[in-house]
Order: sequence, then C-alpha cells, then structure tokens
Amino acid sequence: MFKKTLFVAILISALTIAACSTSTTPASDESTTPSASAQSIVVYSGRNENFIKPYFDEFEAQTGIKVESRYGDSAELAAQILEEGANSPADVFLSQDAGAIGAVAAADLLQELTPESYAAVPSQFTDPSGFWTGITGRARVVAYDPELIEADDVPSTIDNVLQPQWRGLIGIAPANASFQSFVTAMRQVRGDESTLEWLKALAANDPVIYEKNSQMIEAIDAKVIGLSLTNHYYAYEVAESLGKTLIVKNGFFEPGDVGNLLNVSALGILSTSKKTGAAYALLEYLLSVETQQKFVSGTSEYAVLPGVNPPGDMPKLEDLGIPDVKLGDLSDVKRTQELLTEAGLL
Amino acid sequence: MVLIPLTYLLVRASENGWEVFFNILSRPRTVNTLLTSFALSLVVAAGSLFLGVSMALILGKTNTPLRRLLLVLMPLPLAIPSYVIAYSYLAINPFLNGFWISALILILATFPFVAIPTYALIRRINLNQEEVARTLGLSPISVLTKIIWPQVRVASFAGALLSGLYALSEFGTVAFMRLDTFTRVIYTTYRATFDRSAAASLGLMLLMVSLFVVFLERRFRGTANPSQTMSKSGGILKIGSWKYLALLFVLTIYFLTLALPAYVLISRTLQVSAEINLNNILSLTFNTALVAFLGATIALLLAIPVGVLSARFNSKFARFLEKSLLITHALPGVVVGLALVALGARYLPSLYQTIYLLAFAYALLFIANSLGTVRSSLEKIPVKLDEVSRSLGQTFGQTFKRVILPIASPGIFSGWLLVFVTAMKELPATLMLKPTGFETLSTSLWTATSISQFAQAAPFALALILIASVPSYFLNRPNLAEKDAMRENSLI
Repeated sequence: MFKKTLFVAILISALTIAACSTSTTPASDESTTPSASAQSIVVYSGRNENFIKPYFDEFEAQTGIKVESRYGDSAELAAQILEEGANSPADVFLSQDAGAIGAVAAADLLQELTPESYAAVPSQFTDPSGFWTGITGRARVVAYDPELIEADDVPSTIDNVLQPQWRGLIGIAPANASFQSFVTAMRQVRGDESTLEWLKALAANDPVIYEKNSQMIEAIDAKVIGLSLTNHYYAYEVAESLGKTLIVKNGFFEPGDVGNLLNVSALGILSTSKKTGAAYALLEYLLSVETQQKFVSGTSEYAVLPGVNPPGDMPKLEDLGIPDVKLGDLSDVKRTQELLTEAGLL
Repeated sequence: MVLIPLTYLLVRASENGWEVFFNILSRPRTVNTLLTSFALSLVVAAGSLFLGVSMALILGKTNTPLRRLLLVLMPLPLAIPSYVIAYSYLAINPFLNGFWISALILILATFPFVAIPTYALIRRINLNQEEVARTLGLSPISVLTKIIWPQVRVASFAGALLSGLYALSEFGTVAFMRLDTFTRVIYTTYRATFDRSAAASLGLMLLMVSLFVVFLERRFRGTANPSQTMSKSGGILKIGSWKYLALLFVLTIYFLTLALPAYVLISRTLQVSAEINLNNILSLTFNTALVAFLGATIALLLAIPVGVLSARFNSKFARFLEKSLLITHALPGVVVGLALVALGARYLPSLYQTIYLLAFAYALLFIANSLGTVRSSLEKIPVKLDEVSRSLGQTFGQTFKRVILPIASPGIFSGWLLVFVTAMKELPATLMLKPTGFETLSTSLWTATSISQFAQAAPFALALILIASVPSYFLNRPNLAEKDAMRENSLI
C-alpha cells in the first residue's frame, strides 16, 4: 500500500514539475518586430554542440540575442525541417555540408540572402542562387599511416587509389555525406559514366567500409587499414579527444584533382522566420574575421574568408589545389547514391 | 494510436508512386539486407532466450551465492545504449566486425527482456507441484523441463520476441561492426537523399519482416497455463558445487556487458583530463528520468487495458492490438520520430517539441516491452478469484482494484521498469521531438561520442546505469507475501 501511494505521489509531482518547467521555456513565436530588438532565435544546427556552442554563447554576450539551438545530424535535421514545412520553429539552419542545406533550399524553405550579408565570401563557397552561404571549409584529404607508407608513395591522383598495392588497405565511409559530396563533385567533373567506372574499380580493390570518419582515423592508428579518404580535421579531432598523438598524417592529391574537394558548412535563413534581423546578426558574427580565425584555431577548420591563416600545419587555402567545382550543385546526392548502390559500395 | 507511424509510412511511400516501391524491393541489396536483418533477428532472439532463461534459473531457482546483488544488476544492460557497448569492444580489439559479434553484443544487451519476466514467473511457480514431482522421484532436470519450463515458456518467448524486434530496429551496433543490415539502408536513404518517401517504403518493408517474426513467435510459444492455484511458491534447488560454475557464468556475462564498457569509458576519461560538471549531470539526470518516467507511465496506462483484454477475453481484436503494438517496436526510432514530427508540427503545434509529445513517443516506441509482462502477470490470476469477487458483489472496476491489481503488481511494475530503462537511452526520436534546449543524458552522450570525446561521454553513460539501478533494486525485493511463503518453507 505504501509503495502505491509513493508511486502516485511521485507521478503527481512529476506532472507538476513538468507543467512548471514547460511554462517557463519561452514560446518561440514571441511577436516582436522583426528587427534586432528580438530576444532570441531558434537555430537547427548540424554542427556538433560541443564545437559550436561557445560561439553561440559569445554571440549572445556580444549582441544580447539568445540562441536556442537544436542539435542533430545535418541530414536528419533537414528531413525534420522538410516534415515541419511552414510550421517549422527554426529561424536558421546551420548545416555541416552543402548537400543537406541544398535539399532544404530546393524545397523553397529558405529565403534569399541579401548580397551584402555574404559579400566577403568567395563565390565558389556560396549558393549561386543566393539561398545559403558557406561558413567554414572542410578539405578532403587522404589520411595515411606514415610508418606503412612513405610520403612520396601516397597516391598522387584519385585514380592511383585504384592500384593493386592498396587492395584491402583503403578505408572509405560511403554512407557519409562528405564522401558522397566528393563523388557528386567527381560526377560534375567527369560525368556519370566515368564516375561509375571509377566506383566499380574502387569496389574491386576491396575497400574497408566504415560508418564514421573518426572510426577510420582510429583504424589507421591501430593499423587495421593503411589509408582513408576523409576530411582534414578528423586527424586533429580524434587526437584531441583521445588525448594522445596519433601517427596519422594528412596527404593531398595533385593540385586540381577532384580528390582535393573543399566542402563547406553552410548557413541559411528559413523563409518562415520572423526574426530575420537577429538571423542576419548571427550570420555577420560567424563571418567576422575574429570568429573565422577562431574556427581555424578552435576546430581546425578552414575559414572561408580570404586572408585568414590555415589550421595547424595544413597548406593555405590557395595552395590546396582545390578542383573547380560548383558547390551549389552538390546537393544532387540522390543520383550519387544510385551510382554507389550500383557499384556495390552502398 | 499505433496507426500513426503506419499511416505516415503509407502516405510518404505512396508519394512517389508504387512503382518506386517495387523498384527498391527488387534491388539485390535490399533483398540481401532484409535477409541479414531477419537472420540477425532470429539469432538474437534465440540467443537471448537461452541466456535469459539461464540467468533467470540460476538467480531464481538455485542456491548460487550472491543472488540478491546479481539480481539488482539484471536490468542494467538495457540501460546502456548498445553503440556504447560496441564502441568499447572496438576499443579493446579494433579488428572486430561482422554478423556474429553484432549478434553477441545484441544478445548481451537484450537478454534482460527474457530474464526479467522469466524470473518473475519462476518465483511464483507453485511449490506443491514441485514437491509432488520430487516425491515421485523426478530429477532436478526433469523438474525443470516438465514443471518449470511449461509455465515460464510463454513469458520467455515474449521476451525473446522483444530482443528479436529490437535487433531489427537497431542501428548503432551494426554501424560500428560494419554489418550491412536493413536499418542501415533506411538510415542512408534518409541521410543521403532526404527522400523520405523511399525511406518510408523501406520502413514498410521492415514492418512486414517484423510481422513475420511476430508470427513465428506465436507459433513457437505455446499456450499459457492460466489457472494455477496461488499457494506456496519460491522453492530453491540446491545444486551443490555446480553453484560456483553458475556464479562464474553470471559474473562473466555481467563483465562482458557492464564492466567492460564501463572500464573502457573510465580509462578513456582518465587519459584526457576532462572536467566533470556535476550540476550539469544532475540536471541532465533529472530531465532524463522525468521524461522516461512520464513515457513509461503513459505506456503502462495503455498496456494494462490491452493486457486485460488479452488475458481475460482473448478476442481477435485484442490479439490484433497486441500485434500492431509489437511491430511498432521494430521500427527504427528515426521513423517514429519523423512520423510524430509530421503529426506534431502540422496538426498539434501546441504539443510539438514539448516533453508530453516526447513522452508519448517513448510510450509508442516501447510499449511493446511491457505488454508481455503485463499480460502474463494478469494471466496468472485464476479466473476463479474474479468470479468469487464478483459473486460477493464487487463491480469489475472494484475487482480490478482490490483483487487483480495487487496480485499482478510485481509483473506490472516490471513492465513499467522495462519501458523506463529503455526509454532513457532512446536517441533519434528524442533529438527530433525534445523541446529546444532540453537535453537528456542520451543526447549529451551522443553529442560527445559523435566527435569521439569519450572522456566527456563517460559520466553520462555511468549516470544512465546508476539511475537504472534504482527502480531495478525495488523490482527485485520480495514483497511481503513472498516473504511469508519463504519463511514457511524455511528458506529465510
């Protein structure tokens, strides 16, 4: 009998607490005038909380605008925004890659950005139709084990990856958005047929399939694989989280090779947002020189603003040998996925 | 209510036309991954059945030392997200991958689904029957197969079904172990193409597979023996020096499923000097417990009527209801999450992204976990008791409150507990449906592990295990009636 009363008591107090706590969270549709006097904005962020929250906090300290942020996988957030449609509570979508935000733009859910707001960003890192802009750069590299592979023997072109000496030693993450962006870029440069041939040849070389990029870095360090196609910052990220130096090094292909693709994290403002003033303030903050420099030193990413130093011991943006690819067109991931499936990689 | 995800899937799938549906169905990879998922589901169900029954028997029927302590640990594997277990195994041996290791991890993570209800029933087995059997000269093994097993069989199979369905929906472990299952196809379709219609078609296929699994379970489980007279229960078999082997077995299982992941997490924490924010952890713990509590309670309020219908009336409608609740359990959280996003954002905006809708999502996702235990605990009550109570003038409601509920309450509470523990670690639906800014232990754990910050992650994982052990402690304390019975049989 006592247990039952206890149970009921806990239930009632839980419900009361729940009711109280939900009534103190501010309603997201406070109707203030759509200017910089708005108190808060809702951001859906595909960028990890532990990385981006310090920036949101600094933004709030500087402007008084509170960022209420929701975190998740960029693609899942995009799917969520698409499901929410016109009722989405989001004001800003901060995506980890161009593909996810491109899908939201394609569904007419983003508003066109004013040209002045992102004028400082080179056009190759923005949406040609003007619905989103890049914020930071993420370079594709070939991460490798220098104890196994000499620096000069690292494959110099993306086609050299297909050579028999790498059989069973290459790690790829074909379900990952960055890898698919890379394949989409290859389709842009070489055409679908040629890309499919490359994918089939890669599949024939026994690549080791992983789900996450960080897994691949750990695998190289544990000598399970010898090299992997991944993004530049994972080597730094994994080393920092494990608290030890890794043997893994970043290598690059020849200048202009499509394997050197630079992808961007991107920001767009929802067309249903009533807080556009505050949203543009956030955009301005993220594109400011100080913040861009912090992205470099804090998370080892590239700044999209020209003239900012590169991260760590990475080459400058101009020296990366980025291929000439339209990032805005990288959102056509569906066909890429079909090719990957046909090649047996996905 | 259970039609929500189903409707959503049908609507989305048909958006692109049914030719696309059949197109996807006929791809070789689709068929391969369906078979892999199905095989994984069967192996996990069988393994979980074997392990769960063994654990329940050892801890419930033998004189193995340290039983009380080991019992408290029993639900805990359910509290750890299976991807954490997978990650810690990889940390020890990075070469691990594939079908069998995935199956092993999932068996270790889900055997409590079998062990908990089986244990509850074992403790209630009619001692008279056992005593008669022994005076007739039956060996302990025969007592096991002829007396005990027929009575726990239904509950054990129901638990094994839950394990099998969980294996269908699971993504974290198979992702780490690089096993290409059907859920992986669903996830990559969502992530890569944002094509919710193709992914919805796949979700429907998964539902069909799970229906088949449910059907198989029905065929194998036999029927319950409902009207046992409630008399002395709780006899213990003395197994002599086998008890040390049994103890070793149980300890090994707990080591593999609890100690190893804890060790890896803690050692990684020590490698990096991470500051642990205690305030933060307390508020996260509170949030987690709150929503899981609400979700489990809602689930139970829904499960009890269904259980009563099944146990007392056993109509076609009751069976249909149970089946549909069970197959929802096989859906990946991302599917149920998006279904509720669609429902909430478009039709119920005042409830969208509140903890109430989130609690409802948990109830929807995990009600299956409580159905088996609720039903079998209600079945155990002889119909005669109802009839006596009614003939004395009590209405059905009063009968329920004064007769059925007190006797069935341990089973009902363990059903509640199962939902509570599994809801705490839920991730994909939580990420989509939680109020913005409301974090739980599971979302914080995910945040840290997705950027390999395992040092930050460790306190959250450990907190999950700790909260789960609180209700688990209450579950396994014998209640007063049992204490009397045990005293009678001079076991205390």
